Amino acid sequence: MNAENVCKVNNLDTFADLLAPFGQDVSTQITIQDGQGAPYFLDKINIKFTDEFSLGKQHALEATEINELLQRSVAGHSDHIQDLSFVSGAGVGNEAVAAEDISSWAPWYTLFRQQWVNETKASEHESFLHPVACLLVVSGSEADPVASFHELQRHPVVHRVQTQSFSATNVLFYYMLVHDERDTAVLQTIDTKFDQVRRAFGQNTSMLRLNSNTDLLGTGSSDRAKVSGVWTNHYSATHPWAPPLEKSFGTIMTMRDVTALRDSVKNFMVKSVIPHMQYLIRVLSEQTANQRRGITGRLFSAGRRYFGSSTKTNSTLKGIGSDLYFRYDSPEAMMRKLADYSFMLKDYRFAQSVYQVARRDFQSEKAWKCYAGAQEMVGLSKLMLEIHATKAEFESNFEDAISMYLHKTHAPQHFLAVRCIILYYELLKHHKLYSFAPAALLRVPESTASLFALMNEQAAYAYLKHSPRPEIRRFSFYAMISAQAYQGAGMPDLAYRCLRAVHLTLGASFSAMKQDTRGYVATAEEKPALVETPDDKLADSSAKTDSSTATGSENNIAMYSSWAAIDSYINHELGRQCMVAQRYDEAFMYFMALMGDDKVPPKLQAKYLQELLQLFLESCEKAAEDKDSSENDSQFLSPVELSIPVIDPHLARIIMSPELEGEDGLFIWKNDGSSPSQSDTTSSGSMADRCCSVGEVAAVLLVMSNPLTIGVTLNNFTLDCRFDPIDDDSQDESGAPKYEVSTVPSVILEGGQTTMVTVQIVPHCAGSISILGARYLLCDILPTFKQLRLPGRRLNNTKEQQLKSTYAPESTLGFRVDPTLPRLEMTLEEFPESLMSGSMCQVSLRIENRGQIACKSAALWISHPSFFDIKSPHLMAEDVDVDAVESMYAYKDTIADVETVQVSNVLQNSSTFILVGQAYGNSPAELAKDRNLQHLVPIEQLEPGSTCVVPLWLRGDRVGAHTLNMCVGASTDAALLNMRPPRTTNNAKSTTNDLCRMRSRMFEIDLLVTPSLRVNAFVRPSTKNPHERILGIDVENVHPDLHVELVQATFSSGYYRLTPLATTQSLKPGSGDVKEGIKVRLGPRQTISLVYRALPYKTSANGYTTPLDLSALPELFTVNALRQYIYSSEKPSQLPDSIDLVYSNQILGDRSVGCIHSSLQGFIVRAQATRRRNMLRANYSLIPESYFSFLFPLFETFGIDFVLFWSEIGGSHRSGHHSITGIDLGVPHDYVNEALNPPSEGVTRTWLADTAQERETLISSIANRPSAIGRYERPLDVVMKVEKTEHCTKSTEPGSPLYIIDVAISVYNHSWRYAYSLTLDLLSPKDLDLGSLEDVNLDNTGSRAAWTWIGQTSYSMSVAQHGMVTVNANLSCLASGVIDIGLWHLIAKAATGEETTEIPFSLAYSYDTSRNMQFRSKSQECNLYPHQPCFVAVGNDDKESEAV
Amino acid sequence: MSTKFLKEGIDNVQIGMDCHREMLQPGGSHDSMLIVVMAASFYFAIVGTNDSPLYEAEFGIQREENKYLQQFVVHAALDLVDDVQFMTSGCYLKAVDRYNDWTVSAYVTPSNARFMLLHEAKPEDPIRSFFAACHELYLRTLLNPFYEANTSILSQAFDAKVHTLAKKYLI
Repeated sequence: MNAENVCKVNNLDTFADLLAPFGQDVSTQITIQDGQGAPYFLDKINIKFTDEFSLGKQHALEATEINELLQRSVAGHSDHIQDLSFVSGAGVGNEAVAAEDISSWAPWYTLFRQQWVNETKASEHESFLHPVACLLVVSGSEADPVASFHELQRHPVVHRVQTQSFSATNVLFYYMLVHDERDTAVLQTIDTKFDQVRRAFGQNTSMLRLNSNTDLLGTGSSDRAKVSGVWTNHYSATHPWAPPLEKSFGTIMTMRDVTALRDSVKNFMVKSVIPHMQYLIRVLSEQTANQRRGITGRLFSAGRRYFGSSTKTNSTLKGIGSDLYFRYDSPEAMMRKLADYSFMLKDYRFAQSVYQVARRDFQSEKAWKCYAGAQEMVGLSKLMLEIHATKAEFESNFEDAISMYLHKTHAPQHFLAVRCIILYYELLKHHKLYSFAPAALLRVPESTASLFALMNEQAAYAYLKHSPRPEIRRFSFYAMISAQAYQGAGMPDLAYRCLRAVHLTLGASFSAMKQDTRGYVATAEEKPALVETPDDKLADSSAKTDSSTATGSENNIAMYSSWAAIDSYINHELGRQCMVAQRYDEAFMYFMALMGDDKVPPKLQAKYLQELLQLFLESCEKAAEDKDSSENDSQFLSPVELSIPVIDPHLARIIMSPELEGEDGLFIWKNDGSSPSQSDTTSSGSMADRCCSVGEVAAVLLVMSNPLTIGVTLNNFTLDCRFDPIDDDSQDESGAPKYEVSTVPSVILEGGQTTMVTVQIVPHCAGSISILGARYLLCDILPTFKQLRLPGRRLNNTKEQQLKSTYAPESTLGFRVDPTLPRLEMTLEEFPESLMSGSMCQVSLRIENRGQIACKSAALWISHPSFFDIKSPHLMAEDVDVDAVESMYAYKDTIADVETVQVSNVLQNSSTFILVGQAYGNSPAELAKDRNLQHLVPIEQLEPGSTCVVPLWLRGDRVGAHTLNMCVGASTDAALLNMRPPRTTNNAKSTTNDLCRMRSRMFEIDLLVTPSLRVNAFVRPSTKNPHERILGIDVENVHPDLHVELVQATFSSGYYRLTPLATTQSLKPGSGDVKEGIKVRLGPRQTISLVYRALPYKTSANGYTTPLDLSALPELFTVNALRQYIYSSEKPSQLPDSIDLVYSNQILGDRSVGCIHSSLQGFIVRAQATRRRNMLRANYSLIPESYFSFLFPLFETFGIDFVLFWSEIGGSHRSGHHSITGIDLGVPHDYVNEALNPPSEGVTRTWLADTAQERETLISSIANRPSAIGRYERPLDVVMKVEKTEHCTKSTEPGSPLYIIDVAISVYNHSWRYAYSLTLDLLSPKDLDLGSLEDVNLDNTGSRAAWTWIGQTSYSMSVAQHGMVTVNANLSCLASGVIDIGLWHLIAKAATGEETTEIPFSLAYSYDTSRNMQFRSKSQECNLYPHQPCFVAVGNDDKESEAV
Repeated sequence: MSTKFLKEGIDNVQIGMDCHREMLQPGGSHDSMLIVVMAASFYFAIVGTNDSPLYEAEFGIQREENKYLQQFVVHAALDLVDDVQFMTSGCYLKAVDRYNDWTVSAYVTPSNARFMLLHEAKPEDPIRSFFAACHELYLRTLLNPFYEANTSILSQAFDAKVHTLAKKYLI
């Protein structure tokens, strides 16, 4: 009425609104009594003013309603959703989390809670929200206020309060007279009116003066705002979701009025309401509770339960819906009211005890809603009361209450349950008991997704607030559940927020964990620092990669926690959220992270892939729309980089001219016979090495594997390349494509499959092409770009580079296009797959110049020189008859038995051949000499388009499967080719380092060599001559059906000539003529032995060997050179002199083969060189191979090489030869060891221990080389030979003859180094007795019995190196028979000092005891005794002697 | 939310039962108890010290769709294991967590590898035996010089043995 007008002018709807702000925190400041009568201080109290009361039905809690409620809550904080301040990329910060309040993380919960509270309505089972007092307001302008008050008491609301509310008749009426200051008319009468009212209604009356701002001028805007603020603040506190009101409240009020209002509310409370409540508490307590508490109370209630319940049902219980309630006048309801009132007055202890009693009653009556309410209040009271509440005391109450609300009541009281949860949660938060919170929050029913989501989110945050550390794993679990629920409730923003939080926390915690384990390395690898280069392009590209790595680490977007299913779920959900929100690039990242996870089941992988493609199509559409509207080129059209398939750039290969076999590139050719190789090990595979000429096809081979278990297809697979012209000036702007890249239409990759894809690039201009990456359409839809970049090698030069990993500029996959490069095409023709061992077969190598420029030099290298004989190349155009190519064997009718020829003894590089260009050497003499070995005339140059053919003879050298490498190098520059055999120069180094770069192609050829003949040689000493040896050759035909005819056996040696012990005639006894028609044939599985006697070639007729020319001996050369190599600072640079070889031929068939001056000789020599090199390599592993030519000759003096020619009878008439090289017939003395003794002068001093150590190692490795072990070492040998036997009879007695025997005793010196001075004592049998002990009886009866040396028995003499000295001695013998004359003692001492000037060593030798004695002792001083008896038959004319 | 998953689980169980029925049709109907027992579903994981799973296995009915949920539940239960492990001296921690119908039992080896078993209601003793046997297997794996501690166990033999143990004790 008029009182309402007072409000209306102030823009307030009702009087309740006017008073509402003053109901908060009314400071009562009074002391009141609690339930037991003890006083306590009540500081503040809150009251709520309302102008309406009805027992409304509680919310049924419709899902849509709650959703709306929540949507409203979130709407105000849409900006907050993106903000995940509490989790960063670094994970959850413990301190930050502990400091912050949960409400700041999810402000919408606070709003929701407030709305929930506002929505709460009064319920029958509790007295909260039921009015305690009724405030009746009448305006002072009323004529009769008392009448108006009476009238108001009959108002329907007041009636409802009296009938329906808990207070019922006990409600307190308070009468307020409001005076409007503007109404000056009643100013005089107002006091009297108030007196009337006071008289009529007693002390529960008050008067309020308002609207004092009568003049409307205002006391200033600040004051006005302050007044208005009182209401606006309250409004925004209770309705925080609503938009701020435009209305200005309290327009005509001043601060004085505000104070008046506050005071009147305080008076209302302190004077009337609280005393009223206290009074009621006392009354109710007396009526009900006091008698019910304690033992008696319980007994009473028990009795009542059993005896009086039937009457109770009718009188006190009533049903609303199907739940049971108590009438307000029933003792149970009164108890509840009593407890509630006590609770309101903050007497929690008393309230709790009353609630507990009431709870039992409700339980016994099965009034579950009331019971749940009481239970809830018990818990609340406990929490309000106890500061350090423990779990057991309140948790069960709440659990019980919530489950009762939800399950026991007839219709689930969701609203009350949620209210209970909220209250409980708020109290727990207040007490910081976060560990209890989740359990409570998670009791929320799942039926309402949004509510469930909200509560789960809070639960997750509660886990974060756990002390001492946040429980991140549980947080992420509940955040995930919450996200699911939000998703279900149609709130994707919040769902996305929750998932992001999970993603960040889990990802961060895992990466932190990884950081711990992997440590520094991982980070270093992630961000390779690139060195800045002056080159603009490189700098540009490196900057690009820098930025890409930076963004990569920033948007560390992919989930990675090693829990595969979790990761894929989170990534997938986030991706979908982003997709829905049309944040396509973010979605792409999530989806891309999904790809490539093989732990995900195939079904899901297929789904993810499908969705990714879908995503792309959508984004394309979107981009198209955008483009239409704003001409804005969207970035989605640029291809994304995806993890499938995996392409390892390290495995990518660029193959030049892929249609040809073999490896192509710039190779470095060395002239020491080693294989041409890619130029440098450090920069191998870099761009500089790969080049091709214009128009040539280069194939890029990529290995890609599919990490998924489902198959994918890649379409239009091609490569992105960058073309850099060779110099910028020559850039032509014609626009013609500089290169062409082929496209592979489709590649199908099954799950887990690895496949190779070849893409061809054809360059059209000179320059360089580098491959940037692969580009393809995934499943024909998604354009994908895959970067193929390799960091350069790790730099390690400066300290800075060492401290952090720095890499050289990337060595991109790429190649050069060089128009000056030769472009040769090589094909091997008629190459057999298998070959019989020893047999020869002609093949040819065809080389075509397909380039633009004539090839001026070309060379061929073969890994197995003993398999090949190369003939002169010829051009195709010359029309050379193939048959005109020199045959391998030069057959002759006759051949001398012995031939000598002087050949070079240089161990050559036999692997490399010059095909095109200048031959070795310049002088014709040199040329001729070289041709002797190589027998190869190169052609001058190869014109473009012309073809040359190189005839090759292929021989199956060794049985087995071989992989032969063949390399052809070519260059258009004639000067490049400076391949020369090592020759005597002053500087050895310049020779050994001669190398050149040529474009080369390396082939691999597989050849199977099948066995045919097996040839073995064995050597025996001959008894006839100490220099003579018996050499046996066993030839076995192991081929199952091969009939061969042996043609010729040829031996070559520097010292020996060989004569057959058995002639061909004797091989076939019974045949007549020697020369004619006799063939040595060998069927399958047959064996033949050939035996030869080897005699020194220069043996004179009397059996003595002419002394060797020591200075020219290859062995001596080796000793000197090796010693120089070991001890001198100057490395040897002298090449061995040529050697005279003796060729001994035995013709076995009807033809003969000329070995000398034929190409065969060259081939055999090369084969020999290869074998010898291999042998040296095995024996002298520490000596570099380039020194072999200067240390070791090709032939040794005492070695014998054996070649056996054969031809097949019938069949294909194959012919071939087998050979055995290096049959050692030589002396047992190991001459190499002599080189190990240091010379007297010229020894380089070693300053460093390392150098000395190195030398030690070298020496011991030579001393212990494999071939030296087990070698018998005896520098001197004594040979006795009976010259003449004289039979004389001195004695008169017949029959007792006396034999005088002349014995020639020869001492041989095998040493190359020492001349010896020696003393030879001949011992007679009886001399032996002298040295023996007394009691030993020597057997002097036998062969030792009756002879003795006569004449001189002791000789002093000296013997030169490798020389022989002979003395004659006599012995007399009494009886005929066989006697052992091998009784002597030899004391030898190496000739020392200046005396031995004749030693022809380049480094003079001197005996120096301070030097290393290790290799000296054996050969410098020795005592020799016979190690073999020497039997002589005496008395017979046939003298048979056996010499050592 | 989770009721939905439960329903799916039940569907799976029914499908599984149908399959078994079909298989067992000729044999007779007295095996129905066996079918019910076999319908149980288990998820077993060995979690290394850096919280990443070293080994995962599923026994009984496979539920591919829920795999992430299983992992999530087990992963979340690790937080509880961290608390519970100091309250007992034994390795076996019994049931540490519960989510809807699922129970997570845990077992902590002295080297802090955690064996987690997600299962439905089940008596404790077989689970304890299963864990003990798995611990033995795990120790043998650790003894392998080619196995680096805290890395994934990829051994086929290990997998086969764990499945055998699961058959013996759980299914």
